[in-house]
Amino acid sequence: MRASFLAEYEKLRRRPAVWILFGIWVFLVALFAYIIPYIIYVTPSADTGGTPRSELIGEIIPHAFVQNVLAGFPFFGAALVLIGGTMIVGSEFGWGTLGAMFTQRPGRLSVLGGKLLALASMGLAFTVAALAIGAIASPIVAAVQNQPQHWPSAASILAGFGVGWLILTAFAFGGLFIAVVFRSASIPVGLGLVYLLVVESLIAGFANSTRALFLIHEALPGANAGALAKSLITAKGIDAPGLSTMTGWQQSLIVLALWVVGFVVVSAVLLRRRDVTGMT
Amino acid sequence: MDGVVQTASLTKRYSATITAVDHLDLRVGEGEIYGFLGPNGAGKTTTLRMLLGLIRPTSGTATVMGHRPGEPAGLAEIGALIETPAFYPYLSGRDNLKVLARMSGTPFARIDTTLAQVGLSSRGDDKFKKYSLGMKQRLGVGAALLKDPAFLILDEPTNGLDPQGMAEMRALIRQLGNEGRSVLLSSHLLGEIEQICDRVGVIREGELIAEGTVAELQQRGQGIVVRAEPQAQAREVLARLPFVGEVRTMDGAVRVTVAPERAAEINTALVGAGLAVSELRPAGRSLEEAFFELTGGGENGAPVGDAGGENGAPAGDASGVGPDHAERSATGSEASDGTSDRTPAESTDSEVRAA
Repeated sequence: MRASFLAEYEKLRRRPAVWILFGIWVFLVALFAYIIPYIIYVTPSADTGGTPRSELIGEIIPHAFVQNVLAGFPFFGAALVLIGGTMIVGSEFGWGTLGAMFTQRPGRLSVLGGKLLALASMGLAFTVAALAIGAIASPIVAAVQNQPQHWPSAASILAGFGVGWLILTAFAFGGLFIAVVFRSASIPVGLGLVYLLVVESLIAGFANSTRALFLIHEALPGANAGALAKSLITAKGIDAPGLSTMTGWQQSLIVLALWVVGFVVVSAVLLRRRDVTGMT
Repeated sequence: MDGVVQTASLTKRYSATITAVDHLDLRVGEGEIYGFLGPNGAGKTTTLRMLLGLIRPTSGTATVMGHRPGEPAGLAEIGALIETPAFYPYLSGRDNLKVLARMSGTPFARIDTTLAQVGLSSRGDDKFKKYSLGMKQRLGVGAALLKDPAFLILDEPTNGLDPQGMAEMRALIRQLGNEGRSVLLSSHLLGEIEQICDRVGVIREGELIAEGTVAELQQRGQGIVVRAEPQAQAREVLARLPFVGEVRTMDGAVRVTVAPERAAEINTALVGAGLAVSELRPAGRSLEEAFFELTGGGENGAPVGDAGGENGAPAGDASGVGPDHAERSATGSEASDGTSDRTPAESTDSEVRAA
C-alpha cells in the first residue's frame, strides 16, 4: 500500500491538471469568501441583498474564518475534487496505464488503496489551503477595518478542518467511483458535475413535495455534505449554494461516511473483478 | 517448477458464441525464448493478459513463475509489454520508470541501467508525449526490463522501430535469453521469431495448433516437389503410391507429402509409367510457409503475406522491415489526453471469434 501511495502521490504531484484544480480552488475561495464580500462591504451603493453591513463584516473577520471558507466546500469544492477523483483513475483507463500498474508487484486492491490515499491527501491539501486563505485574509480585513482580532477556538478550527476534509474526500472518492464504473475520464467528469450541480439541486427543490422525495434527498451525498458544513456555520450572513439545514450533524456525518464506504467498496469490487483490456 | 508458464485447458469465453481462447495448453520452459505466433484475432493477446492476471479465464488453470496469474509474488518476477506502450504523457521517460519502480519496489539505480539497455539514456528526461513511436516502444521494453525479471512477456516488442532498432532489440532479447531469462515473445514477424526463438507455438482461433522448434515446424508436412509431364498423369501415378500422403499442385509443380528419402522410389514410379521427369527435389519451407499452411493462410480475412497486419498494417510484410510498422503501432495508440473511452469490447475485437 505504501509503495502504491508513493507512486500515486508522485503522479498526482507532477500532474499539471491537479495544480490547475488547486489554483482554481484557491482563487474561488479567496474570491467568494473574501474579495467579493469585502468589495460589497466597502462599496456603499452595493446591494447587500438585505444583509446588514455589520453582518457582512462579521463573515470576513478572524472570528468566522473557518465558517466562511467552509461554506464553499459542499459546492465548488466538491465539484473540483470530484474532477480530481475521476482523473486519477479515469485517465489510467484512457492512457492504458492501469494494466501496467496492476502488473507491478502490488495487487489491484493495493493500487486502489494508493489512489484513495492520494485523493485523501489531495483533499487534505485543499482543506489546509482554504483554511490558510481564511487565516491570512481575515486578520488583514480586521486590521484594515478596525475590527476585533478574535480567533475561533482550537476545537472549532479542528471541527471545521475535519468536516471540510471529509466533504472533499467523499466527493473525490465519488469521482473515482464514477470513473471506475465507466472506465474513462471524460464521461464521468460530465456526469459527476451534472449530478452534483443539477440533479441534487432539483431534488432539493422538490424535497418537500412528497415523503419519498424527502427521504431520497436526506440520503444524497451533496445534501448531507451541505448539512454537515451548515451545522458548523453559526455566523449570520454566511450562506452559499449547497448549504442545507435538512438534518443535524450526526445524521449527515453518518450518511456521508456511509457514502465514502460505499464508493470504496464498490470501486474495489469492480476493479478487482473486471478484466483489464487496455494496457502496456 | 514445471515451467515458467504452464496452462491447462485455459479458456476465455466472452459470451456463449464468442470464444477468444479455447482449452489452451501452453508450456514455456525455464530459460527458453518461446515464440507465440498466430494470425489476427487468434487469441494471443488475450492469452498474455490472462497470464498477467489482467483477464480472468472462464475456465482452465494457469501458473506463471509458480504462482497464479496476478499474484504479487509472481508479478515481482515478471516484466511485460502488451500491445502498445502506455505511459503517463506528462512525465518524462525517466519519471515514468520511477513511478513503476516505486510500485514494484525496484531500486531507482535500475532506471539508468534500463534506459541504457534500450538506448534512451540521452532522452530519458524528455516528456513521454514528445517521444517518437520507436522511443515509446523502447521505453515499453525498458519498463518490462526494469524489475530485472526472470521472465519477460513481450508482445510485438519491435513495433515502430527502424531496421537498426529492430536488430538491436532482437539482439537484446537474444542476450536476455542467453542470460538464462525466459521470454514469451508474441510477434507477427516470422523472421524475428525464426531468428530469436528456441521454440514456437502457433495459435489459431484460440487453439494451439502446432508447437515445436522452428526446424520442427518447417519439417512438418515436409515433402518433395515433382515436375513431370504430363502433369495430370503424374498426379495419378503419385496418388497411387502407398507411401505418399497429400498430392497437390503448387506453382506449376506437383507437391507431394512424403519423406524426402523416398525420392528415388518416386522417380522410379514416374519413369516406369513413361513420364518425363524434369525436376525432383525436397520441398524446403520457410517458417512463413509453414505458418500459412498451419493457420490456413488468409482464411481470417488477412491476405497471404499479411503476417503483420493485426493493427491494420498493409499486407506483404512478414520480414519486419518497412515503414508500415510505424503505422501499425500508431493505429493502436491511445489519445494522449487520457480521455479515450475505448470499451473492452472494442479493445478485444481483434481477439475474438465466433465459436
